[in-house]
Amino acid sequence: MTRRSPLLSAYAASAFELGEVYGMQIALRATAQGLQSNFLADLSALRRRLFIGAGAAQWLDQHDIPTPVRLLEYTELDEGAIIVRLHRQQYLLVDGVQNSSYDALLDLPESRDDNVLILAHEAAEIACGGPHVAAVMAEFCAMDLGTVGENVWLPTRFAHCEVALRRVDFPAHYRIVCSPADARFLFGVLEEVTLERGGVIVGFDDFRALANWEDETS
Amino acid sequence: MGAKRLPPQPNEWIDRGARVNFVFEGDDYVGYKGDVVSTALLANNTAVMARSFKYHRPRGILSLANHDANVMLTSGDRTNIRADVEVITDAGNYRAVNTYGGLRYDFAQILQVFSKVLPVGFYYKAFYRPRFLFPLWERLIRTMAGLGKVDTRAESVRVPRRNRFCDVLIIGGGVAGLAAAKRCLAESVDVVIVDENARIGGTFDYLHANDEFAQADKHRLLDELQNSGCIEILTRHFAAGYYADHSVPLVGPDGIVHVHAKSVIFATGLYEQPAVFRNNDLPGIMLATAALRLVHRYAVAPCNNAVVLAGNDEAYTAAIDLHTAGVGISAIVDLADPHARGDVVNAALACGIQIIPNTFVTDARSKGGRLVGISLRSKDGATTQSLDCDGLLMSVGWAPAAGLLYQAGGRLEYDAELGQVVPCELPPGLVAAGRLNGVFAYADKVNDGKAAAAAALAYLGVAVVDESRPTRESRTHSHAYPIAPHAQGKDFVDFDEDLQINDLSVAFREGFDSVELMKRYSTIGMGPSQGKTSNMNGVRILADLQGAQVQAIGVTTPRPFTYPVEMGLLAGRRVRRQWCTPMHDFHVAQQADVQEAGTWLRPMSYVLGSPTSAIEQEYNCVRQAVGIIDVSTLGKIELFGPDACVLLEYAYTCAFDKLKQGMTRYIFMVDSSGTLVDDGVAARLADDHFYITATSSHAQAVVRSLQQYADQLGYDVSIVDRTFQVAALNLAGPRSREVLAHLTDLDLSETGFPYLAIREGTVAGIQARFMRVGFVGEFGFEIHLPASSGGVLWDALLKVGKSVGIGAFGVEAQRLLRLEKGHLIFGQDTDGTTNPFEANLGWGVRLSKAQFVGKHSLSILKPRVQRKLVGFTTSDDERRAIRECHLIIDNDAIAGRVTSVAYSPHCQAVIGLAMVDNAFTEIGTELSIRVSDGSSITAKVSAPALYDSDNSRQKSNDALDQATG
Repeated sequence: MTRRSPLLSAYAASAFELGEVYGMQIALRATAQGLQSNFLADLSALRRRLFIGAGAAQWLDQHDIPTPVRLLEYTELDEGAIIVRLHRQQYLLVDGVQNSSYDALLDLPESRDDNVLILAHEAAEIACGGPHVAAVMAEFCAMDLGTVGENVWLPTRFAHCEVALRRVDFPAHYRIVCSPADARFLFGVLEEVTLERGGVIVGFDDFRALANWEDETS
Repeated sequence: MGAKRLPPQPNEWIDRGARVNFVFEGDDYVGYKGDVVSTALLANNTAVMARSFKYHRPRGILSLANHDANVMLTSGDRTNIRADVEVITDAGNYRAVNTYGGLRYDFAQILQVFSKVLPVGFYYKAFYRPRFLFPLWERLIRTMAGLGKVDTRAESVRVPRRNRFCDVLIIGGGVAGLAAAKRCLAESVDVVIVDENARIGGTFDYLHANDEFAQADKHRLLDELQNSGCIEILTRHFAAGYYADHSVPLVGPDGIVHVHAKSVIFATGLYEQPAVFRNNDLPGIMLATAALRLVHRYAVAPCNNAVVLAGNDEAYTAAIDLHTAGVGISAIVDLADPHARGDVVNAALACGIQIIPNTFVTDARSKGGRLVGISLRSKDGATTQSLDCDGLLMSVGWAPAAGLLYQAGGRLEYDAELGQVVPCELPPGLVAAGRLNGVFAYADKVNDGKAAAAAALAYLGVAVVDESRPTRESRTHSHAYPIAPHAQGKDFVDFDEDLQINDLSVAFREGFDSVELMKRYSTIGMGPSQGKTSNMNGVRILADLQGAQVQAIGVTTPRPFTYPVEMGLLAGRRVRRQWCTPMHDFHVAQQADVQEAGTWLRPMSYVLGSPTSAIEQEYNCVRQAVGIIDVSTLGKIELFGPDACVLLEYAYTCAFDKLKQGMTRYIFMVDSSGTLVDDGVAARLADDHFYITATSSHAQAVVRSLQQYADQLGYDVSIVDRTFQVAALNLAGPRSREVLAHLTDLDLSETGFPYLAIREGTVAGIQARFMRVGFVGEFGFEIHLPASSGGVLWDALLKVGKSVGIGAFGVEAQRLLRLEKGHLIFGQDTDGTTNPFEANLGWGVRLSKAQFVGKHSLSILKPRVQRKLVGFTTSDDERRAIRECHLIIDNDAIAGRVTSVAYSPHCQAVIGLAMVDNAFTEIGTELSIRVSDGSSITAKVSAPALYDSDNSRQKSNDALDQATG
């Protein structure tokens, strides 16, 4: 394994089975938990590639990735993957939690292809969901998340950290994307609140199982 | 028997089925669930509950609404608990704050005897001579001053704080507030109602307690609102302040709710005001509304035989109400002529209450600290009389609870007819309602609440029919001057600070004759109750002293918070953002001394033992073998696009046109005044592709500047801040190439990878960038790789380097190593005024470039350099007393300052860098450094670089390679 989740040590205190997802060492499983309580999961293993440059949109289009027109919006792709327009000439491709159809792009090394620069985009990604998720989010986000539209990639401050938020409907939760440097702090803060509300910390596979269950029943 | 528990009242808040045992001042008490400490004590006929701040006078209930700070308590690790709002519990064990020897025998009450020599500002006047005694007085005053003692051993708490967004925030759950809420309900908007009391209802519970129509209304309203499901009602929460964009923190017992409202309705009501006369602070003397709250909410009779002091009609209503509830009311002392008051006078007379017209209370008498009687004097001074009573209930006037409105930028003015300050101009989206707005009758308050809601809804864009606002009353509800100065003083204006009328007069005579100056000098309104019951009388007294009208005086702006907020609530969860590098876990595992460096957590050193030996050990490792340091905190920025080079040319002082692909160079940035702001390394990866580094503390600012310049000049370039996405480590030392060669197939030879080159390749199977640069004066490589792989490479390097003695080194060793090399640290060896020429960086300024930030300033500064950064040494090993920022003195004048200093193992001497005047820059010049104890140490100016001054070690280790085979 050549990658390590920035949140690995945050799981160290609990009995989690560790494993590998896309080359990253990450917590996979604890005990199977239902969706009855709040949950928090480390999804940092999800691969991300940043496509930069004047030709980025066209290049992605040629690779069957439909890019969003508006800044800070994303287009949903197959299996939960998304493509976000971060900047005028910057697009971020993010893996879904299920097996992805975009391996060829997500596994690209840092390189350039003519006038497109391809960079790995390192981030910590935390899933925060459950029946009290609105209350958890309201404790740390001074933005009215109820007014945020669909497919919005929302850069904001969350518990003093610069993050990007997005709402996912199945299973209903928020994705909090922060820098690896902030990951431990932010996860610690969220963990405290989640556990306070009777919630659970789950692993990557636990979350994937929740997502599958939700997909099947929705 | 004085105070006592009454039979059940229709609206009482106590649960008579649940008895609560608690302790006060060591004695056991019994109350009911729902009682607050004040009511439970008074129900047990304990009227003396606390001591005053300055003279330690006995104090009891004044407002029973938390509008005063008469009774503050300590319990366990909590202090300054307000007895008016603290609900009793079985675990409660309370003591009054600010007593010496307990409440009953507080020996500090002796201070009352000296009150004549302790006027306002006495400590400014009395204790500055003789000077040598001042520390003694200071200690004594500090011991006596302050309320409550913080228990620093208390267990820390982590309190949640949440954000709440709503359409309308209604502050105050009284008649007007609830009417407004009901009006909003009809439009299905999201409403939050906040009320500081345990239950909403406000004056429904005491001023309108006997109004059947109002009570029926109340029950309907509460039913409707509480069952609506779309209105959030927060009781026991107070609006602590008003901030921009209708942002209002609501403070409750379990944390702060930060409300962001689109519109705010202020239905905050009024504070009842006390009268001022001699001994007006005795326990047993309280506001009439306090007595009404006692009776209706807690079923406690405040006394056995009360006199009501009347300055308005409400006094009569209160007297009749209390009489009906079973409280003995012997007389109403009216400050004015009662004939103008209408039917209430006859109703009072019908209750058998004596009415004494046109009369002031001049004095109150006590026994055992409690009121036993009052002295009266007719308005014309012709008659005086004395009355026995154990309760005096004051109903003489009101002041608006308008602090939040002032903070919101509202304009208020004094309505002379009404005798009250009222809102006259409010910012958009803010509306006032109810008594705060100058309407008093029940129906008017309801209509005003509805009209306020309509205004708020209209502001939100909801199509509503305008509700007509009731006319503001023209009849006053406040006596113009409920103040009777007494020759012997003790006529308290501000109970918090024991301020008497004479104190304000003294302040006025000494020139503090405006409302703002008087506040600050006399401290009126600056105590824990923030002037809620004192400011209005203070203004009246100042008007009298000035011979002016009250409206000409103005008022002071109450600042947040409305009530004191516990520090724990402000701290919330006490979260403190800290950035961890990708290698953090490995540093911790190596037992590094990890400390905060800005937001980052960085390892200062690794080797256990004394810090000095750890630094020297790490130093030796780098100089003699190979060391590894985590430099992930460096800023890392990717620039890509046809204008990448021109952007760098504009942002930095040096030239990039000759920087070849695959090479790096040192860069620094100045601001438009020519002051150094940041430095780093720029690498050219392609004609249109650069990768640059910035200092740890300035990375985000550099990104912002670059983005700003690109936008301003319309450059076609993408800028990506990769600071957090890329891990970086520096492998430094004569054996670094040997170690790195184990993990990469890159050509690391001098020709394949020369000094200042950049290469892309893999290391330990990880894609990475390698730069032949260094900061510590040794041959080395800086390796940049994805953050998630940083720890993996760190671990791998330590493993493969073990055989050659690799060791991790921390920030402290790095500082020493770079100091020997003469490399400067921005922000330490430079400050907010240093330009490149002063820091020996003139070589990096290309003034011939067409345009760059700071060019004009640098052109001017270049010939005018007055000081320079120099190296220095002092041979005396024992003189390690030199510290950064110690001054260099020449003939008693400052000639410079030390910017960096350390003991150099290489030089076997203390070495450093100093910014000195031009006269001291010659090598060999003696510098006189004044150290902390005032003595001077002589040092000699040297070149800044005292190690590897010809760069031979940094550039190449071929010689070593050959020697070691």
